[in-house]
Amino acid sequence: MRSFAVFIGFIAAAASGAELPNPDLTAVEPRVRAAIEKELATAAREPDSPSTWGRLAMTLHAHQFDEEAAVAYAEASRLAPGDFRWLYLRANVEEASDPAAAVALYHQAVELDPNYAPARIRLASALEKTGLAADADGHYREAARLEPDNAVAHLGLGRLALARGDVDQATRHLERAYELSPETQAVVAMLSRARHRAGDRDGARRLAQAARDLPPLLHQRDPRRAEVDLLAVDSESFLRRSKTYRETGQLQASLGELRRLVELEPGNAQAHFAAAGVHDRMNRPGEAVAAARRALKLDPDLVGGRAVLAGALFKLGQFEEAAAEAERVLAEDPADIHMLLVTTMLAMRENDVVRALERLDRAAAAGASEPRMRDLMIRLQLELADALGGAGLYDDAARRIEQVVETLERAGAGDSELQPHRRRLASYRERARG
Amino acid sequence: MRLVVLGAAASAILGCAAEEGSSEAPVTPPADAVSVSGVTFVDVTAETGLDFVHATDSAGTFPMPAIMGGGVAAFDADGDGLLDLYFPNAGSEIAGESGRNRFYLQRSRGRFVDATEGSGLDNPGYGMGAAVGDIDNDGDLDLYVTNLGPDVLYRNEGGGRFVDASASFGVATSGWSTSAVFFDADLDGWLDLYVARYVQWNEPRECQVQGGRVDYCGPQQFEGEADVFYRNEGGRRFVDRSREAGVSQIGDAGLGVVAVDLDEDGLPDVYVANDADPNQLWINRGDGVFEDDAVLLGAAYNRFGVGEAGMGIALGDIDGDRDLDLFLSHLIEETNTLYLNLGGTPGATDGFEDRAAEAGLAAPSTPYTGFGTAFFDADNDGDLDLAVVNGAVKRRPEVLSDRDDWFWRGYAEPNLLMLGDGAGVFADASAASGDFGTALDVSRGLVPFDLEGDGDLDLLVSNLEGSARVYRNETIADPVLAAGTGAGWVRLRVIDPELRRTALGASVVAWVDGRPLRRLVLPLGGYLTGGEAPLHIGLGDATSVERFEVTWPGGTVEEFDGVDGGSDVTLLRGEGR
Repeated sequence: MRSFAVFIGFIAAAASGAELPNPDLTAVEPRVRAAIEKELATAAREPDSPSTWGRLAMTLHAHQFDEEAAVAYAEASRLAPGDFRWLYLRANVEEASDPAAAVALYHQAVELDPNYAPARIRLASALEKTGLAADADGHYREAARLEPDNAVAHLGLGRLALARGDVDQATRHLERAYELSPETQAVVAMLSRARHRAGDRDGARRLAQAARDLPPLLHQRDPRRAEVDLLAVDSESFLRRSKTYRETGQLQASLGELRRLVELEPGNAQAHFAAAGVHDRMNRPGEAVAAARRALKLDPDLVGGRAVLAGALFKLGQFEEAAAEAERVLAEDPADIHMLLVTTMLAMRENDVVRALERLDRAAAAGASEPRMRDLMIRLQLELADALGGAGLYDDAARRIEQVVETLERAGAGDSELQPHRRRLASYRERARG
Repeated sequence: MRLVVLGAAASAILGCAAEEGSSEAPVTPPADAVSVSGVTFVDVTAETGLDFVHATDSAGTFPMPAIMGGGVAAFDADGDGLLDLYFPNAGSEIAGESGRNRFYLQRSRGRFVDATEGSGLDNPGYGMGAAVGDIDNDGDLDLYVTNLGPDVLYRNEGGGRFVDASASFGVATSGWSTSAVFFDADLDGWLDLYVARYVQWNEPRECQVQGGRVDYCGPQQFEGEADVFYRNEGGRRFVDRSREAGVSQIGDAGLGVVAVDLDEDGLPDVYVANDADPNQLWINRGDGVFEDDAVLLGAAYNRFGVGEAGMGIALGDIDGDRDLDLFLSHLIEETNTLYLNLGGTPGATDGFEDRAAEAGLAAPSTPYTGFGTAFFDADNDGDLDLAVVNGAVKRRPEVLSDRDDWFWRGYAEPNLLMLGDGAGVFADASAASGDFGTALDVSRGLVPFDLEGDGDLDLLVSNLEGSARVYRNETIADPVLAAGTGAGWVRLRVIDPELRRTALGASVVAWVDGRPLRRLVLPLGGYLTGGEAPLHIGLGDATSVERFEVTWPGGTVEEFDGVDGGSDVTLLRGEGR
C-alpha cells in the first residue's frame, strides 16, 4: 500500500510538471518496498532536485524496475543536463530492451565524459548489438588507451578483428585479454576461435575444453554502475554481490555483504552457508565450521553446507567427524568431487590405498571443473603414483599419471605443463615392461 | 530416371491418399489471385475444430516445469495424407482431466477431431514435447513423448492407434526430457534417437529474483542433466549408447535439438540449444562417437562469448550460399542469435559466427523470451522467412496483456515474424502480420504447415496455459493459382523406397530461375516440437522448378527433372539420374 507521503508527493510532483513513477510494489520484499517508497517520498518533497531524482532512479534500477527507473533518470537529466551519470545509467537501463536508444544515450554520455572507459565499452558493445560493429572498434580502442589493462576492451578488439578476418590482430588482442583475465569463459572461448582460424586445431581444442569449466562473465570495473548495485537491499542481491566479490578475489568484501544480510536476516541459511565458503577460501577453517553449523541448523538439507563443513573439519584435523559428514554428503550425491577428494585424503591418512584409489577413480570419473578441485585431484594422483611406484606397482602408478595427463589436457594445459608428466609416465611404463 | 507427381508408389509407402486439388499443372491465374504486399495470418482455430487447451493448474505456485511446456507433434498418424496433431500436457496426475495429453486427427482438410480416446496415446505423465519417426521402417510414423519423468515410445499400429512400446524397445529415459529427434546417426537405415534433457529438478520450490520478487526458478538453481543417445538396432530395440557416444559426459540444461550434417562430411551431427549453458555441437566422427566442437566452431556462445538461454532452434540456408545457418531463440534482454555458417570445405568447416545484429534479428527480439522457431517461406517468394513464438519465464517488467487470468497475463508476449530477403537480412513484419503478431499468449511450440493444402504455409502454435492456435496464411489470395505471379510453390516428399520412409537427412537443391534453393529433409523441430511434413518451396516469379538435386544420406547424389509450380512431387531414391 502506498504511503500518504507518497500520495501527497504525487500531487506535488504532478503540479511541477514531472510525474513520479508508479512501480507495482505489491509482490516485493518489504525491505525493497520501504527503500523505494522512501525515495519516492523524497522525490515528491524535492521535485526540483536532480540528485533526488537520480537517487530514486538508482534505487528503482537496483531493484529491476527498469521502466520506472528510465523515467526517473530522464527527469534527473532534464534537471541537470550536464551530469554524465544520469545519461549513462539511463543508457544502462535502456540497453536491455532498446539497444538503439541506448546507443544514442551512450553517445551523449561519452560526449560529457570522454574519459570514462566503461561508457566507451558499453557504447561499443551496444553498437555491436545493433549491427554497427564497424563503429565499435574506435571506442574499444579508446577504452584500451584509457585503461591499457582493461581485458574487456582487448576482448572487444580481438572479437572485431576476428570478425573482419584479421586473425593476427585478433590473436594479439585476445592473448592480451587472456593474460589479463585467464580464467574467463568469454576470453578463453574467443581465443580458441582465433587459434582455430589460425590453423592451430589442437591448441584451439584445448582452450575450447578449458573454456567450458570457467566462470562465464568478465567483471568490468564500473564504479558508476557499482553505486547502483550497492543500493539493492533484497536478499538475492546481497548474495549476488557477495558471489561477485568472491569470484574477483575480494573475499573481505564478499564477507561484508553476507554480514549485512545476516544482520537483516539472521535466519538466512544461504547467507551462513555462503559465509562458510568464504571463510574456507580465506583458510579460516574454524570460522568456516561455525558458519556451516549455523547454516545446517537452519536448514539440515543444505548439502553444500555439509560439504564445506566436512572440508573445514578435515583442515582442523577433526578427521572422524569430517569423514562422517563427507559420507553423508556422498550418500546424497555420490559424484561430489570435493567430498570424494576429502575421503581420498582420509583414506591416505589411514594408509588404506585400496579405498583411496577407489575414491580417486570416482573423482576422476566425475571430472573436476573448478580449478582448485582439479589441482587437488592432480596432487593426490601424483602422491598416490609415487606411493604405488615406490611399492613396485608401476602399471598402477602409470595409470595415475595417465589420469593426470588426461585431466590437464581437458583443462587446456600447454605442452610445457604436460611434458614432465609425460616423461614420468614413460618412465613408469618402461619400468613396468622391464 | 523417374519423377513421380503424386506418385502411387509413394502413396503406398506412406499409406496416404492423394491430396485434394494438388496435382495438376498450374492454371494461368486471374490477375487478382495474388496479393503479396503484406504477410498476414488470421486466427482460424475455431473453424478447425481444434479445442486443445494446455493446463498446468499451477498459477501462483511457481513449479519450474509449469513454465517450460508444452510442445506439439504434427504428423500423419493414420496414413490419410493429412497432418494430425498431438499435444503433450501437464498430465492428469498434476492437472486432472484438463491436464490430459490430446490427440487430434485431421479428418478432412483443415478439420480436426479429438481422437484421444482409443488412440492409446493417453499418457498420464508430465508431458513436455514429442519426436516423430518411423522406428521400424514399416511405413508409418511412431511417436516419442518427452516427459518430466519416464518418457514414452508409442509404436504406430495404423489407423490412428498406438501402443506403448517403451519396454519392448528398451527406452527408459527418465529425469526431465525436453526436445528429442530421430535421425540415422550411423547410416544403417534405422532411425536412432537423441533426447535432450534439462535439469535435475527435484523440489517444487519457488525462487526469488533480483529485486525481491518471487518467480519461477531458472536452470542455474539446479544441476544440468546429460542428454541421451539411443542406437536403433534393426528396428527391434533401442540401446542406450550415451556413454560410448560421449554425450553423457556433459550435463547441461538442454532444451532444443536438431540433427543435421553441419560440417558437410556426410554424417549427421547433433546441435543442442542449452539454457544458460554453452550450446553443444556434437560432431559425428562416424565411429559411434560424437565430439563437442561447438566452442571451436563458434556455435556455443554469442558474439560476446557468453552462453545464452538457448530455447528453440531453426535451421536453414538464409543467404542462398547453400550452407546451413542456425538460429536460436533466447531470453528477454538477450538477443535471439543467428549463427551464420561461414562455409569451408566438407569435413573442415570454418564454423559459425553470431551475425544476429547484422541480419536484423537481434533488436526486435530483446523485449521477449523466444521459444518455438522455424524458417519457412511465408510469402512463397523463394526466400526463407522466420517465425518465433514468445512467452516469458519470469513475470514481465511491463505487462502487455489484459487477458482475464491475472497470473498468466504477466507472462504473455506477442510473436515475431521476420521477412527474409534471401541474402541474409530480415525485416520485422510482426506488427503487420495480423493475428499471429498481435496475439498475446505464453507460446512454446510452433509448426509451419499447409493446413488447407492450398500452397501456402499456415502456422500452428501451442501455448502454455492457453488454447493452441491455428493461423491461416492469407498473404496470397489464391495460392493454388499463384504460379508465375510472384508466389508460386511446389511441395515435395523425399522418399527412400527401400526403407519405406522419408529420407530424413537428405538435402534437396531446387533450381529456380537459375537460383539454387537448398532445403533439408528433416523432422519438424524448434522447441519441444516434432513431426514430419512435406517440404514446401516458394518459387517467387518463376513458373517452375528447373531441376532437383538430391544428396541422399550417405552422399549419393541424384538429379531429377523439374516440375511446374503448383505441383506435389515425390522424389524416390534410385529413380533419379
